Amino acid sequence: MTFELQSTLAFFLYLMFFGWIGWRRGEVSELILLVMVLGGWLLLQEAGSVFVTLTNFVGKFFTLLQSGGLTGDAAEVLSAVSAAPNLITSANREAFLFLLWCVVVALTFVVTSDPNLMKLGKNRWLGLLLGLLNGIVFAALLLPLLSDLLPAAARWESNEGALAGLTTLLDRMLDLLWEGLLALRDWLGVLPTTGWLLLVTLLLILIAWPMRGSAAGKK
Amino acid sequence: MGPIEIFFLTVVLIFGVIGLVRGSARELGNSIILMFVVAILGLTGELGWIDRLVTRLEIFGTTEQQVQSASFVLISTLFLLIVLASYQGRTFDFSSRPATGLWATLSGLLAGLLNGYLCAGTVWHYADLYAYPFNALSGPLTATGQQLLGLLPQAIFPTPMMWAVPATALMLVRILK
Repeated sequence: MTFELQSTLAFFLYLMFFGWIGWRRGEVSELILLVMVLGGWLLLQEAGSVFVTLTNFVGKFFTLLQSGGLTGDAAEVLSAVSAAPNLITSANREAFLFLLWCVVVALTFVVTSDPNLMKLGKNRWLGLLLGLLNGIVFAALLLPLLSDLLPAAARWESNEGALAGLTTLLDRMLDLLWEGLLALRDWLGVLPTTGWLLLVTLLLILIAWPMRGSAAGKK
Repeated sequence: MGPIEIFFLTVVLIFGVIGLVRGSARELGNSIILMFVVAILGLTGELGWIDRLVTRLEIFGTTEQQVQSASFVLISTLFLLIVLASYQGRTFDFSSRPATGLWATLSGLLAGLLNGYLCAGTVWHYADLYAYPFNALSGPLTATGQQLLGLLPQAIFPTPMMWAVPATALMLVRILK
């Protein structure tokens, strides 16, 4: 079997997976996901600096609050704010924008998995087609970012045993995951404590909000 | 990474799996209680109640090491009893409109991980505060351990009392209709 045929089959399997998801979720959910994936990507590429500036502004605002900005001496507060480092720098700008895009995509996927929205999709074949389209879009956007993994995957072709490529790929994936967690820890390390508090509170509210209200109140 | 960090991460992971099985509707009720307990334990520490208790124990002629061990046992037993009671008994439950699908899995895991972090982190904090009683740690902490110490529930905010903020926010969401 030629390598081209293997690649084609692998890509076909990958697309079938997305098609199956589209079949299950329906065309309305898939269309919203497609718009958000493409729209979010384009928006962050074209106007990413707006989000970076806003995030840095929020970081400075928390520094202002922590240094007694609402009650303290204005000169001290101003010097504290100007000395505070930016949360997003040129070094982590791309990673931040990608993370933001991932959050938007993940939230859209969760929201559009709502059973009521999925019921709106009557045409399963259209859902399948849109699912396939989503698969192609994700491949186009994410494959360049997986270049770190591809050399490891190439060992699949080598003669080091049937599972050598798979284990090397898994090793590299775990390494990347660990490096990503360390980078995230370093980035979160510069968050002011008020930012941590806000993050924890918002995350808990986000989890609890769809389940708000007591069981007794619903009787 | 040393044994204590691995133990800490394992406990957090186990709680994550428990959260996955129980679901966020039940886990969040435990989170409210655990966050309030962390806040109250922090307050008692700031007010010096724990120190006063330690001083009283010294009256009985115990050594410094014994006092530290007793304080650790007292606090961690009390804390773990509350954890056990909250998991066994009734808490604020959010099961009127339980989450479904992928979100149910993800939110259950997140809430479980938070509870694990609060439980394991609190016990580790007090073990560190009382110089690791019963020779729980023979050598110095690794660099990762030192970094994790600064991220424990009692250290992540300027005062552990701040845990009352997310706990109160959750309670408000609970009573909203």
